Amino acid sequence: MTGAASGSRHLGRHRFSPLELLPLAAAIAAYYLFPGYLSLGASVLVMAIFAVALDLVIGFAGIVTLGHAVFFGVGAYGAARMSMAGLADPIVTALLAGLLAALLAALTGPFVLRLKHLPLIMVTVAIVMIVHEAANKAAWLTGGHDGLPALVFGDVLGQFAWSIYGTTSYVYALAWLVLLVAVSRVIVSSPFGVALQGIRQNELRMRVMGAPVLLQQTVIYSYSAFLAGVAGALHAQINGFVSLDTLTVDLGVFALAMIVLGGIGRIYGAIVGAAVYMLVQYFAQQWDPYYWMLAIGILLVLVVRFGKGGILGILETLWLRLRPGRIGAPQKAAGEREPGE
Amino acid sequence: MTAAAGPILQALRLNKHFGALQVTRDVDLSLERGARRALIGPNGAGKTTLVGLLSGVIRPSSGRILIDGRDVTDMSPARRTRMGLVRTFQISNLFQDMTVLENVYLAVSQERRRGLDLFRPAGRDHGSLDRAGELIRKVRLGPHADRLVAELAYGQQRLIEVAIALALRPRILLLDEPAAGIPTGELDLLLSVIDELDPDMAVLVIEHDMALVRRVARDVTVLVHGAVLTSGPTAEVLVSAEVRRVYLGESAAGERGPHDA
Repeated sequence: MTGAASGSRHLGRHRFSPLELLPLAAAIAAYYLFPGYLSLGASVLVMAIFAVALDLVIGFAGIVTLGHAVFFGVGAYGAARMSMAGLADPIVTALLAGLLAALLAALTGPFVLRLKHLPLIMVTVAIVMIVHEAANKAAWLTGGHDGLPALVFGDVLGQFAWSIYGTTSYVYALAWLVLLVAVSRVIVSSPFGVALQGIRQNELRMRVMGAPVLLQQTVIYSYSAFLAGVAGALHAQINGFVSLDTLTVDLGVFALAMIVLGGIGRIYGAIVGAAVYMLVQYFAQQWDPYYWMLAIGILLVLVVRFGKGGILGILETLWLRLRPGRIGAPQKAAGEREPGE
Repeated sequence: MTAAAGPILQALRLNKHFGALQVTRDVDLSLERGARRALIGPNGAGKTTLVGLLSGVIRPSSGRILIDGRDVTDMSPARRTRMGLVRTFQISNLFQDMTVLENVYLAVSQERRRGLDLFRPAGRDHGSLDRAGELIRKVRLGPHADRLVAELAYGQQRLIEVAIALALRPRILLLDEPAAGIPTGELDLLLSVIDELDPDMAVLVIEHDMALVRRVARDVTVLVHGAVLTSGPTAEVLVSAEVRRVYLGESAAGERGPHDA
């Protein structure tokens, strides 16, 4: 009876598609083709991790939050304080920073996640604002407005020194992204992952089926916070400083724009969205430092207007059209919905 | 009130009002193991509200609900489901953007407590998938297993509703108008599914179709304006003059006041 799973999108997610190697191949190619842009590349990869974290809660579990920057910020400041306290190994500090963020999510999740829709959005926005202000006041811990500058982290694996060209940063961030995407992929393909998507589509029904909904949501919220915390730590390690910019509502809104742009609920959409968003932002800023948001805005409007499912959704539609003999059979088409995954 | 011998499900003096509107009045209801009871009454009598109260989706204003003699009035729908109380929904309440298999799989995997299983692919959860496939074939939807629920006819969606309920291994099954929207020609399928239910299962079916009530129910409870009008063996209740006047009279004319009992 397992053959029945073949036409199913949610039950077939664990199957690996060679297309999944495309983003990795592009990242490796970029390393060799654009050696002058590796620092930019590293920050794209860090934002991609953060965007994947947000996609897991919004795109899969339907938890619409604008407060995820709290976990990014906690990870960033956590890693910074660890380095100042003499714990400088980047991998260990990133892991601990991620765990710190996850712990915070596990403690707050059971309260915050009882809320839905607008109240949830408002409360998560309020939390970021409060934490931002608290961090501003607690200068002894966070450096207040000046942030924590001149952070020093040890060599990666004790071998690879940080350089101003960003070679180490780039490869290090890419390795984290690949690892975290691989684990996230396993999680969204699991019975737990399918249940999350059930919660997003019809939460009441899941409750009536006896699903421990709040616990399931808290688990994904905490795992997602772990990713956000690791992203924050990488941000601190790659830039060598942490500022209050890591604790803003803006950061959560930008990440939301990235996942909408790339395609929500696909993981790879978050990566593509982060890359396109960051690159357009970078080059538009060079073109005009004041009106760069215009370029992003127009891009977002176009993608949302003309494509369902973001950039990956558009590519998928094109792919299905270009493959002959696939259109007439609706049952087959339903099974081929997600060639990007 | 010993758990072993008493009724499996009991409602004691249930009341529910929404503001000034009282939709459930002092309802007493009990189901024994193996019960086949129908709940009938004119539109607006509060039948669906009663199912909501029993399943825990709606909280009563007063009164108590017992499963196996244990007070569950304050328990969530999820806990009641885990205790074996399962309901279907009158209006299809499925996962529209998922396939039939995915819908039933979700129910099976919750029942098998796989909801927190993070590291194994759902697509290789053979135990749950096999059982989901079995239930889908039981309601004769095998050929449609991989189709999106939204693409199916309404009557077929009703059958998925039943498959999901059975996936949860109910000891008490509340069927909220299972036949609504099913074409007459396909009713036999629903009836045979109900016939095949575990004889120990307690079944409460809300239904307008009197032929189905006669066929399925051994006992009938009549609800009018939120209160129990009468209750007893199907044959006796359905011939009672009062029931015929209130129920059959009003169902033809819709919800009208002067026919009050």
